Order: sequence, then structure tokens, then C-alpha cells
Amino acid sequence: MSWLNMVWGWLPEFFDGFLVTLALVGMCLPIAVALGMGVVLMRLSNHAVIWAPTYAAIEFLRNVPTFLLILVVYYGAPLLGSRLDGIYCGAIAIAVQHTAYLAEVFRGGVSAVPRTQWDAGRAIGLRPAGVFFRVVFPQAALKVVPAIGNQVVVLIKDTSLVAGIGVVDLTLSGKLVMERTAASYEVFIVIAVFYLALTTLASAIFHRLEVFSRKRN
Amino acid sequence: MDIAFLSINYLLKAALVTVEIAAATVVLSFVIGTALGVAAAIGGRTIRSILTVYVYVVRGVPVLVLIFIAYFGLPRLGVDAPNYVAATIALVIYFAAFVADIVRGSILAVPKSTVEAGLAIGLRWTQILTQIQLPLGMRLALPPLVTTASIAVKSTSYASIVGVWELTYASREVVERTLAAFEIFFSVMVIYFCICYPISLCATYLQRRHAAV
Amino acid sequence: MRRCNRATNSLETMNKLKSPSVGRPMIEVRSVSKNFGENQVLKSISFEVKEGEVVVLIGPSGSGKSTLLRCINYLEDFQAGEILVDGSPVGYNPAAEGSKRTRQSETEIARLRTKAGMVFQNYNLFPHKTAIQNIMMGPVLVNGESKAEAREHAQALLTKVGLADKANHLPSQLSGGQQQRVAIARALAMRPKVMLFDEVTSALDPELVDEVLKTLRDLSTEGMTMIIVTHEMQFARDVADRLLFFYQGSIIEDGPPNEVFANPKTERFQAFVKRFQNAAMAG
Repeated sequence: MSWLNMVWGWLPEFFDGFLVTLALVGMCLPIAVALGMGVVLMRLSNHAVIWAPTYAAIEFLRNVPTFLLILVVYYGAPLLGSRLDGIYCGAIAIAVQHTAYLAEVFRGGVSAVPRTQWDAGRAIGLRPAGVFFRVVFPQAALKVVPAIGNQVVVLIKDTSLVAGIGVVDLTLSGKLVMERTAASYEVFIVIAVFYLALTTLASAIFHRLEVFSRKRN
Repeated sequence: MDIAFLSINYLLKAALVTVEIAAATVVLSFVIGTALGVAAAIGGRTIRSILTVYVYVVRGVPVLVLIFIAYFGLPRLGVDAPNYVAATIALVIYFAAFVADIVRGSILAVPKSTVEAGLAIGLRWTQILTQIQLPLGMRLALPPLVTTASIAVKSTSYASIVGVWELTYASREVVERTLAAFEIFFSVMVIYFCICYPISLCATYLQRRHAAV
Repeated sequence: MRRCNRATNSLETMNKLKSPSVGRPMIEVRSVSKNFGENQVLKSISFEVKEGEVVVLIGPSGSGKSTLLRCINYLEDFQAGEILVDGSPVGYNPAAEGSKRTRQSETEIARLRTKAGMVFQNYNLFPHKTAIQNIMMGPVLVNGESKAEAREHAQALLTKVGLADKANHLPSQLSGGQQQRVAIARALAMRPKVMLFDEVTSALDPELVDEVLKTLRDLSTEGMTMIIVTHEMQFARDVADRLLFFYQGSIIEDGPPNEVFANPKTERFQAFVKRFQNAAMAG
């Protein structure tokens, strides 16, 4: 069972990387959700001046690779005079792209709310903004809980891309351990198990949320 | 933007490599995935469980980790393959799972009543599969499959992290040489966009046509 | 009166019009029972349908009539009893004395299904095939007919149900009534000995119901053996040779419509009849 000892020896190295991964998720997720809700409002605006550029930006961001966005921030930030750590470059890029993803998810949710709900809201005297915030959007949010759960898993996996710019997250810590201890690809199998645990946890949490939301649907 | 124009040749050559890798990934993963998906739809509990486990693992692990496993693992298994082969193998394993899950779900989503109509005129199960479940199931599967293809194209950029020379890697080279980060990367993003956006439009169009079968 | 162009025995079957005492048993249901878990859906049902007879099954929802119909072509399994279509057992082969019945193979069951044509409440046409392709599928794939033969026959059937010009339309391009008539043609294409109709007008808008009922009436005058599950009471009275009233899994009335309506034997049916008459007077 020497490989068990071997894995045990790796764990402290992974731990730091794991913390970095968690930090990235912790930073990007709330920002993406909050900004996503804001962006979807812009996307749903009736003024072409607002929704057109928003639509363009969302579609653009959704159709480019995440790693490329990370590179843009990483190489571009110094040009703008800031000395950002790699981890923050990654965080900005991931947060921005996931804002676009989530804005689309929310938009889908809003369009899934039946037209009749709008009528009902207006019938009791609410103005359009009121109808949206008090009647339609809450229902839309409940409808998209599973889709958001999926996006969270995607976000967790996307954090691994900062390994490409040298940020020591869970993935890169694996590469370092491998180079230092002459171990091989098995290291990454252990890393994979770590990610699996993380994503399973996230899915389980969202499962609970789904059950909660289904009752109110 | 002059820098962008000067490098455009270089970048377009790299874009071609990206398209090649993407095409290989899409074709192989779709073939394998469809076979697996059909097997899981009609097969017994064993093959269904295998697929469930496979999809679960692939869903929960980053593509990059799979690429690393393939990149460092293949030499250890005695296979001396270039880095783009390792990357492509990892991508194929990754996307075949999604394709299989989509195909399986779509075949099973064909309404039971349509299948019963086939049974009522005396069709046998093999005929039901080939005449009803597969044609109708694949129509349902097309929109999510096209979306998966678009994601696959974007994922090729992760191969650059293990040194595969494709569009992202080339763009990094140019930026490090010229420091014109925004112009170069913006141009490259436009290239990726021009490949992926039409694909996603296809998916939306297909979704509208075959939404209700 | 419409005459059909069937290749087989037209004159013979025409002569069997409306004489239920002539004709051998086409369907035999013997003590069939079925349960869904705890729920006993069919309680030892027995009846016979002779060749050329039109039997209508009526009764409240959940009384088991559709379930029984689906047992006849083995789309539903049954736990006890026997069903014979044109003399052949359905679903299970008869057991020797004292041993368990053996389930038929998929091939045997498929072959038997060709003897009984079924038309469903929701038409269930194949959405990816045109009307004429829907009708041709059975003959080509199961009976081994050539495409040319099948096409000719299919076109004739479309004409018969009044849709000759809709041959190349997709189901999505047809109204509900038209889709249902294509479904009837599809079932007839297999040249079945008996036709099973499962609430075929329940999903149709009122104005489309008549065209379908007309097709059913025409079939009955041509001597087709038919078992019809329906809620259309007036139609049932007009077309049925016999009426079977289902209640909670058993048949509690059985006889020609006039008799059954005039002298209901049970209270349940009396109540049912009264409700129908009230509805008829109100409507």
C-alpha cells in the first residue's frame, strides 16, 4: 500500500491549490450571479440602445473560449498599468464570461414564465417594473435553478484554466507534485477525484434547492 | 491594428489547425457517443449503469485535467504520441460522454404513444428502433448535439496549455513578441466567434424546427 | 351506400350485414383479469365477438374498457384468462394441464397484432412520414409487400376515407379529423380481421367528430368486425349490434342497444342512461 502513503504525502500540496480553486469559485460565482441578473435587465430592455449592445456582448462572450479571455486579462492588464496577480486575472475573465452565460440562463427563465402572469400582475394594478420584479422574475429564478446548478459545475471546472497562466490551483498543484516527486499521471487521477468531490457537492446542494423550487413552481 | 494584419497569416494557419483538431474531436466523439447512447437506450442495466458512471465522471472533471492525464499518461503506457494526439484523445473521451447522454435521452424521449402505434401495426422491436425511435430520436438530439459541437470547438484552446500549436497558442506567441495584447487577442476572439456563432445559430434554428415532434 | 373495393370476399361479407347470429367467433375473451398493483382493473371479463359484429364498449372513465381493448392486441399484459383473435391465442400460449402458461415471443405477438388493427385516441401518426408513407409502413415492413403494391393500396385506402388528395401531406399539415382518418387507413392497410377503436373521437374538436364517425359507420356496413370504445352515446346506439356496459372492471350489461336502453338490468346503468338522456335533452 505504498501508493496510499504516496497519495497521503501529496495531500498538503494539493490543499493549497484546492484553496485557490475555492477562492476562485467564491469570487466568481456571486459576482457572475449578481451581474448576470443586472445584465439580463439590460438585455430585456425595450430600448434598442440598451439591448442591442448587450445582446452583442453576451453572444460574443458566449462564443469565445474561456482560456482566451483569461489570456486577454493576463496580458492586457499590465498594458493598462495594473499589476494584477494571475489569480485575479483569472477571476475577472471567468466572472465576466459566466455573467454572460447566466444572463442567457435568466433570460430563458423569464421567457418561460407564461404571458398570463404579466396580465395577472397588471390586473392587480402593478406597473410594468413592479410586475417584473415581484411577479415574473421570482418565478423565472425558480424555474432556472437546475440550469444555474449546471453553470456552477461548469464554473468550478473552468477555474482549472488558470493553470495555464501559472496560478497554482488544484490542477497546477498536481503538475508541480508530479514534477517534484517523479510521480506520473496518477497524480491527476487523484486531482480528478478532488474535482469530482467538489462538483458532486455542488450538485447535491443544487438538488436540494431544486426540490425547494419545484414546490413553488 | 497593423500588427494584427501582419500576423494574420500566421494566425489563420493556426486557426486551420484548430479547425482540424475540432473536426477530429467532433467526428470521433459523435460516432463513439452515438453508438454508446443507442446501446444504452436499448440495452440492459449493465450498459446503462456504465454510461451513467462515465457521464458522471466526465461531467465532474475539468477537460484540462483529462488532457493532462492523457498527455502525461500516454508515454507511461508506452505510446509515443505527439501532444495534439493526446489532447484530441482526451477531448474525444470528454465529449463522447455528453453525446452519448444526449442520444440516450433523445431516443427515450420519443413518445410512448408513437412507439405503440408502431407495435399496433405489427412492427417488431428492431423495426421500431430503426423506423421510429432512431429517426425521431436523432431529430430531438440535433439541437443539443450542435451546441456540444460548438463547445468542443472552444475546448480546443485548452490544448495550448500542453503545448499544442493551435490558434490560442499562436496568439500567445504573437502577443509575447509584439505586446499588442488587445489587438491580437481581439482578432483571435473574432476568429473563434466566426466559427462558433454560426454553429450556435444552427442549434437555435434546429431547436425551433424540431421542438415538438 | 359506400361500397368498398376490398380484394377479398366482398360479396360474402356484404351478405353478413347486421346478422350477428351468423359468423364464427372472431374475438373470444375468457375470464380475463388484470390488476395494476393493488388495483383490480379487469375482473374476470368474458365475452365473444362474432365475425361482422360491431360491439361498443361504454362506461365511466376508469371502468377498464380501454384497458381491455389494449389487452386484445397485447399492448397491455393480463394476469389471468385467455384471449383469442380469429382462433389464435394472444400473449400467452395455452398451458398443458396443471402447468403455467408460457408467454409468446415478440415475433408471435407482432404477427398476431397484424390481425387486429387499432386506432388510438391521439391518432399517433408517425410525424416524420407523410400520410401515404404512414399507411405503407406496415404492409412494406411487416407483410413484405413491394412499395408499388403498398402505394397503390394506400392510395385506395386514402380515397376510401376521403383524403385522396392529402397523400403527400405530413401529419402536422392535417387537421385532427384528417389525421384520425389517416390513422384508420393505416390500420386497415394491414387487412385486419378486426378493428379496435379506442375513444377515437375524444381528442377531436366537435366539428371534426362527424367525419370520423362517418368513416366508422361505413366500415360497419361493409361487414368489418369492430370493437369500439366511445363516449358518443348516440353513435353507439346507432351503430352497435351489441352494447357492453363496463363498470369498475366488470361487464354489467350486455345486449343490443335498444334492449339495453329499454330494459336496463342494473341500477348503475339506469343512472348512466338517465344522465345521458338528460345531457341529450339539454344539448
